[in-house]
Amino acid sequence: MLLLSKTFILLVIGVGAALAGRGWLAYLLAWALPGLGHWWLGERRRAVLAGGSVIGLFAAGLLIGGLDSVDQREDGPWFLAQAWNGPIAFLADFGNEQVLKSGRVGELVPSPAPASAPGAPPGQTMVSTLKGIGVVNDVGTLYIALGGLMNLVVMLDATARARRASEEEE
Amino acid sequence: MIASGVLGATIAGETLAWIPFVSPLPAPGPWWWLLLCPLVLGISMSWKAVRLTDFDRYWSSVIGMTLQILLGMAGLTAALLLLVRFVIPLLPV
Repeated sequence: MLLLSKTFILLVIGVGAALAGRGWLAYLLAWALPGLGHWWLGERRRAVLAGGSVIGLFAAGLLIGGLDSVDQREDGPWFLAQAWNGPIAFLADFGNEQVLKSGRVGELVPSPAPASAPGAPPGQTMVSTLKGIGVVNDVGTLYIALGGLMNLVVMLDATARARRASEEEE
Repeated sequence: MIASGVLGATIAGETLAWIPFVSPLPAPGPWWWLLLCPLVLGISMSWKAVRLTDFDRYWSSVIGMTLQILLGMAGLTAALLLLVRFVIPLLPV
């Protein structure tokens, strides 16, 4: 499970920044907020279109699949792709833990699913009544995962442009 | 996400009111696959935003790429349908 943990994913993103060389700041800015890397480089229109589409995919995924579309604990492999959306993905996962899995919204009911929740008796798994189990939840997960992978493309493009600009200055 | 293809959108089925961004959309029934169209549009928008050198023909490029992907998926769907419905039943058991 170490390979699917948030710490490992953040480490991978950090190693990417180290490998980005002169473009490390554009790389990190593009991860922090989709499009921010291009905005920092002065490519405002590209930033709005690229960042807007990635954030749009993320918002559409949450709207379609609900908060349960981002779930690092139960859908770890999907979160590997979703994490490239930036801190918004980690925030959504935190929201899922705090809102759905804690039972603050909806109710926690016994489930055969292999996920334990806070307050569950030993050996009994509990799940939110708002947990998505239909195909729309899968579609929402897919939206956010593909949005994350597209933001990786945007991040690499911002990095390459920053490196080129740096080389031209010399 | 614990199962796919279930008719109800949540553990509670369709009995609870939809809370945007918290609970999944009410089950769209057999039309769920239409949700893939905006997904393809979003992917095309972000791809063309980084690939084009100027944005004069941005939207026409986005629409072209979207249609290409959707037609490709429709073609693959038709090919798989032919394979499953007509070719595989012809194979000797």
